[in-house]
Amino acid sequence: MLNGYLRSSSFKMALLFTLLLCAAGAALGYINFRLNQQQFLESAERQINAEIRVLRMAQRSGQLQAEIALSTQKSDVLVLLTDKQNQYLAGNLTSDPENVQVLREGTLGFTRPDQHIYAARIHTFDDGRRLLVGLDITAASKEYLMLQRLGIISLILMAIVIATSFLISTFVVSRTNRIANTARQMMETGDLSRRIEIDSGWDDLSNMSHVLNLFLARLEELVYGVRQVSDNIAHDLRTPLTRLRNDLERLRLDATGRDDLQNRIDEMIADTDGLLGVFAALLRISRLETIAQTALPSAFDLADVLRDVCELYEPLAEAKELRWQPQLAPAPMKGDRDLVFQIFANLLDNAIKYTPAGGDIRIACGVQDGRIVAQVADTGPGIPAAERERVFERFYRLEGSRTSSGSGLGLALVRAAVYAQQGQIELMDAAPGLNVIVSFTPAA
Amino acid sequence: MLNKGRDGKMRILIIEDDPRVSGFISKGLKEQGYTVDSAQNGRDGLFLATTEKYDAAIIDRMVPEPDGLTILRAMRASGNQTPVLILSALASVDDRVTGLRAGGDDYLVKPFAFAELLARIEILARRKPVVEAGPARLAAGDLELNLLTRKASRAGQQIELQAREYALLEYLLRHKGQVVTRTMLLENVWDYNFDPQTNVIDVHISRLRSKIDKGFSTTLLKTVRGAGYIIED
Repeated sequence: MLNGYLRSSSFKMALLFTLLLCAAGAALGYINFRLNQQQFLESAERQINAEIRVLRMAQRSGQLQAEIALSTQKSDVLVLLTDKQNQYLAGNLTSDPENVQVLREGTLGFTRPDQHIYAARIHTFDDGRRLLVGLDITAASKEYLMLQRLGIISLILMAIVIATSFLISTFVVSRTNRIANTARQMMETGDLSRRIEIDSGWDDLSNMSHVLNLFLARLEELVYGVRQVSDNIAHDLRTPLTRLRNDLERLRLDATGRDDLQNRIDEMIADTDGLLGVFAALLRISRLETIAQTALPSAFDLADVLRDVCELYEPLAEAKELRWQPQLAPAPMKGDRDLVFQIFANLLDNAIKYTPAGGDIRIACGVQDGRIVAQVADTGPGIPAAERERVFERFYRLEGSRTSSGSGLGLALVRAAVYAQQGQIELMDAAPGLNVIVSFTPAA
Repeated sequence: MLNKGRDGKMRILIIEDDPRVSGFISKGLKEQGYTVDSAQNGRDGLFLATTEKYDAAIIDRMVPEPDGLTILRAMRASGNQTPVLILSALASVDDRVTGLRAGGDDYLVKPFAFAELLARIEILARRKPVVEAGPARLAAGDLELNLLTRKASRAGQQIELQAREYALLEYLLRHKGQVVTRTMLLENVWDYNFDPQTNVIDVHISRLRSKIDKGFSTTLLKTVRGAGYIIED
């Protein structure tokens, strides 16, 4: 889950988003805290220094008092001139201001009783007199305070955006994972009744899950319908056929003593059995295709099953004087043992059927690259490359084998069974002959 | 040991809601000398199964109210051990397994040939037809199978059998006098439930026959056409 989250595109987007926002936030913070403070104080200091320079020049020319009077006419300037004993000499300020703070090196800040904020610098003349020049910075400092607040607010907002983007990405990832997991489980188990869990109703993903669930329900309905149709075929055609067979059996009893009649009835019974066999195989294939897992999987060794298949078919092979040397290495796997037996019984049956008398059949199994692999190869005519996919179709028969016995369902059943066991099947050229490779995932 | 009726016939109970199937089974079984009771629904079936004594019961899985498996479980829960053959339209292995787990003794998929049903009922109704000719021995006519030494002989003459031939002969002898179908052989001798594409079982039987019957005047292992095989004295 966590791993999946870390690898997801949403997480990567969230990470990128967060990093960009962090960088932007840091830049904004720096501008707010440093640049503004610097800028507005510096401009105030420049004005104060200019004022002081003018007054110093006036002092040198003995015009200090007159110049102070001139300066104090400006509404935003405060001037205080004191002697060595800190006694008032001149200016519109009568005494040192109270609650003085140091704003910066050499710059003081204070608030007057009228709530105006001032920045001030002090110059000491050579004769010991002190000159204090203040400048009203109320407007600028209010602006600065507001900017500072805006900066803090934007940082908080950014933090919220970061947190939200994480939450959204988690939300999206958990939901897309849920959809993917449901789909995977449906594929693995063939259980079409599964649905995606929905626990909210406001987001697009829930809406999508809802639509997907409707889609799945429709799909299930259709598949179920197909299954129903094939079950109906089974029911509707197999039942009368069986009745026919049973009637023939009774007829055969009635014909006791008439060997010629009984033989003909036996042929009819055999034909009916053939038809019933085709229906049974057809139904079995569609069942395997629609219901992926047929039985609780059991653990067994493929080599044992193959040994039993060989043992079962050995008399048939012997009758055709075929040579075979099964090479069966231990191959522990998990699955439906009966179905696996069926797969190799069909394959071996084909191999025996198509290999000319006196030919060879190769049967082997074992573990290869972590998979359970089995091989059935014959020395018969083989299957042309272009037809290798088609022979798995129902009723598909190769040119030239149409006259031979068999329903044309053997390989279709084999493939359906292999897929139902989550296996793979491949037809290859054994030059000459057909080489069938079947592989399964090993027992965990 | 069997609960034969007053007339000495074996009694079979059929619980099946399809009257055609039910009628056809019951007609066939009566012709074979069985006494047959049939129930068309689960309630009547369960009543008959628990109040009367039968040699075997044939129960359709899909019979209504209650269904076949419920009847079966109820029978087994009350200690009723009557052999039960389950009929079902469901062919998958899962269904077979649930049917047998519920306490069924055998399972037959619909539609079925009557010969197959009859063979299975004969075996169920006369289960354990103890035919051992002595301690750990099975015999038919002058053919003997020693279960301890796993050796077969006919008229005192030793017969060499391969493992599967031995198993085949043992199964046939255990059901001496009863028809054994190809499907039953696949399920019991080969222990696989599958659909052979060819007459591979017949080939095994003819091999066995050539070993036990060749050169003797009487044929013990006979083919029952349209049904299967039988071994008789």
